[in-house]
Amino acid sequence: VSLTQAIPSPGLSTQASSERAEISIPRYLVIAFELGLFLVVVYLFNIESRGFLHLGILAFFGWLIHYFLPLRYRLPFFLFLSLTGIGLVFGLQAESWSAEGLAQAAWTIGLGLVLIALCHVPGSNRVRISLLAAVVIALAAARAGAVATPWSAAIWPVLGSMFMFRLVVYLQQVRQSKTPPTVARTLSYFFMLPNVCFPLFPVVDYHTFLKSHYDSPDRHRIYQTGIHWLFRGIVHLLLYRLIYQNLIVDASDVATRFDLVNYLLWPYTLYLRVSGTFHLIAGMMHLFGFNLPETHKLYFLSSSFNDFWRRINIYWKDFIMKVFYYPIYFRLRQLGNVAALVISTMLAFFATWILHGYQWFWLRGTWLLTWNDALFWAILGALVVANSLYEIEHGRTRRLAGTALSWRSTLLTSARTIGVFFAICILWSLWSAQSLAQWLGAWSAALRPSDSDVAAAALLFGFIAVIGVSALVLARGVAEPAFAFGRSAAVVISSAAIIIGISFPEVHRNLGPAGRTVAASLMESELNRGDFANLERGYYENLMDVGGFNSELWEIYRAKPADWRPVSETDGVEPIDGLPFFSLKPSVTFSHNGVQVTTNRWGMRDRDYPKERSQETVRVALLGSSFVFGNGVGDEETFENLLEDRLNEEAARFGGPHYELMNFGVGGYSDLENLHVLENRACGFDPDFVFLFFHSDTRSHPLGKLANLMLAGQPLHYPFLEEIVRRAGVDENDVERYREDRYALMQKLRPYEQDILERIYAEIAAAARECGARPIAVFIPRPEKFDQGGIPELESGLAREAGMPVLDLSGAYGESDLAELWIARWDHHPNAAGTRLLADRLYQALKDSQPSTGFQLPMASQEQREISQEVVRQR
Amino acid sequence: MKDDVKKTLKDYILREFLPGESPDNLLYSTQLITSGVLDSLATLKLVAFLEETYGITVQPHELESDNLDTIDRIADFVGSKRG
Repeated sequence: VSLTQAIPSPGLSTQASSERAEISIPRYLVIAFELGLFLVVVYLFNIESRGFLHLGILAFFGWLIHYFLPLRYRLPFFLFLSLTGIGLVFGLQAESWSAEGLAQAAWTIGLGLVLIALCHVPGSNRVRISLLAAVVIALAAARAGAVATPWSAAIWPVLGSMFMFRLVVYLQQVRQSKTPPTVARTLSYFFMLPNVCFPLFPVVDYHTFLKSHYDSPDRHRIYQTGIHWLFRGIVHLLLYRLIYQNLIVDASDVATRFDLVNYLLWPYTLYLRVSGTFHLIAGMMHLFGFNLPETHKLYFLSSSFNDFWRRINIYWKDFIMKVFYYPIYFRLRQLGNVAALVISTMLAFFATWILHGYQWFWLRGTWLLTWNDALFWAILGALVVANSLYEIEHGRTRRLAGTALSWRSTLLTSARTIGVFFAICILWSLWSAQSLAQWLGAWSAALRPSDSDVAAAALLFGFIAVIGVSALVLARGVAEPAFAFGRSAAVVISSAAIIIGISFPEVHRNLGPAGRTVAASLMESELNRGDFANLERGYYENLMDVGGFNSELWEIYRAKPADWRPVSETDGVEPIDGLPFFSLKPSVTFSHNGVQVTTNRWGMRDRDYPKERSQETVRVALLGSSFVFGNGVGDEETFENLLEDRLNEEAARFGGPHYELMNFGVGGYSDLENLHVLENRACGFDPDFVFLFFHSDTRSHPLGKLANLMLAGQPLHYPFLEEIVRRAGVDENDVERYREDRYALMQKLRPYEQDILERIYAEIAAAARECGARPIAVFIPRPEKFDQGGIPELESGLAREAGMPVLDLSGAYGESDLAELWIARWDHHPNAAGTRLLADRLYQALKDSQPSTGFQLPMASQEQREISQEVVRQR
Repeated sequence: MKDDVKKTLKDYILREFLPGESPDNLLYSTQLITSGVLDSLATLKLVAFLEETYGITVQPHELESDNLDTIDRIADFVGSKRG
């Protein structure tokens, strides 16, 4: 089999082939210019990933060469680029080459070649399928972590997306095809260029892949269509960002009808992320001659549930039809048309649900089995069945492209489109919800009139108007204008100019506040506040699953290594019934999220200290969660150790006491555990000061821990908690019920969130004073844009009410790029650079607030020392 | 013979799937699957018609645009099945 064997050109005449070879330097330059603009946009707006930018640059230079190659060399060259792309994306990390990354690329290609080779083992198809099944089962065991592998977990999503569905398509179609596969065709199909950057990849049909290669007599049209789709993809992704950053409402924030409308309507539009990336993929394929069909077609304008299924993710629909629906229908049609149709449709949707879990498994390593995923596909399947039965009975209005419906049919179609849009929105919000109770709970806002009802009505009307008018225009047969290279290029170049213009700060400044918000969200590629809260919640409540459809969190969790886990799940802790649920084992060293954690004989992540405090020592007990614990940084890189070193070095130079900063912080502890630790452990070390650290999302954590105590049937330890539970009206019988629905219990308790925090702060302040220490509350901002707006008023106010001076570490990260300070993209705890900035800021805050805290620094003036001594005397 | 098949197919498609459409707008080369005229339900109905009218047996994997996207292709497909 020759590598350069040209693909037979189905349906193309010799004349067309010769026209294909036509070279037009002006068009070549225009397309190259447009591609350059595309790369500028990808760079400026940080579209997708750094890897995608690198791949785009490869595609750009590849296309410049590809254009001049004879047809027979274009497919092998595409294969060369595809394999190079895998090496580039894996190997080029943080702008430098990584031998480890290149090794992973080699593993990806090597494993892929093994799978492909198994498809061609001599013998019967049954033998090949058996062999493949055996290898896939072995790989699945490795993916699930049951078998150690010499390759990294990073290759699974890429390898999975290349082979998990395409192997099925390939095996089926090679068996049925009369044309034998060639090396170039087969390898290009599996390793196709954009795939390495997009684990969520459309199921490209093998036959379509081959057939579409240079199937148009005008190859510039194929290229220009690709460029057009690349920019359409960019527009989808930017719209997605706009909605994602500004308009998504979390279920727990739904208080009014306006919130409810937002909560129900916007999640569906987040699908723009998927359609956007699929446009990028199909667009890039066009650049190399693959004239693939559209992956999505105006899915917001579906006029029936069947139409929705036809328009959204068309490749998936085709795959399911080909592999499941038609074969099942043909087997069952002796039962009668209606029975065969109903059963085959329901089984097709069942297969979609199962395959969704299967896809999740290869990408994440665990099977997706959530109630809302099952419910979503079951309801959608039932709607499509009902719709099909209706169409069998009453027919469907069809028309040829470009012809208009009658006005009566147009209005009916428009009304149906609006109805389907709202129905899908509601179904989608259910799919995205974290629990049925949460979703149903949001609906209770419909019963509450508020001042924002007019805004809710206006928003609804806005959606109706946009969808209704668009459907009307579509139904009247306003056809797409015929392709014209010049017009398409003009549209692309002007769109690029506008998009690039938005990125300039000079333009931002003249846009006004609303315009600036829009521009900022278009440039924003990180999590929104709600998803960040969900990511954070994972640490505190172990809610590591994400809803049925949440592409941003899904991406984060996909990237997260399987062994990345909270400290509570390591062997460095011992579980405790009741508060504080677990504690660090004394004198152990264990590995946690890529770093070594060492505990002292007292079970603190810290250096060793004697139990008794000496007279010359200033001892501080630090209470807090993972930020104090030092999640993801080395033992010597925690900010408390850095600060302790600095204080003691300065004390040695300038004179002053010895400092002992004792780290009682543990990842996952809320202020409820902090209170318990203070009373039962920290006070025993006779501290002079107690520092209680909080960030802007710690307020809700004690609530979750209270719920955990109740659900575990443990004593609540504190009378104030018992009182709050009584006020919330939760009795023991309820607790039984809430074991099945923790969210509902949380909803019952949520109105008392502030009361709980208030009482905990008061108890911490009182407990600290009782053991002779001065309590100080410290606001520690996370390296997160949401925490850069200053100290939260609620916590600082409650701390002051409890008599605690408050230190504000706002601005600790200065002008740093916050993402550079994360330990990982999926874990936003500060890295070593971040903890150093925190240590410096805490030092400065202690210095600035010395009169109110009485904390004596080594360089303190005589006057400051006197103040400190006075504070200590009073205490 | 092939022209008869095409004419029969055109009449059938106009009657079943495009009532009210002008026959002049439906050419033998008009794309049926790509344009959405032949969706899955219509495809199954058309297959039943082909099997009944021409005595052929269609396999699930043959429901491809290569065989069914235009009246021309359907006629070719029927011709190839009838040998």
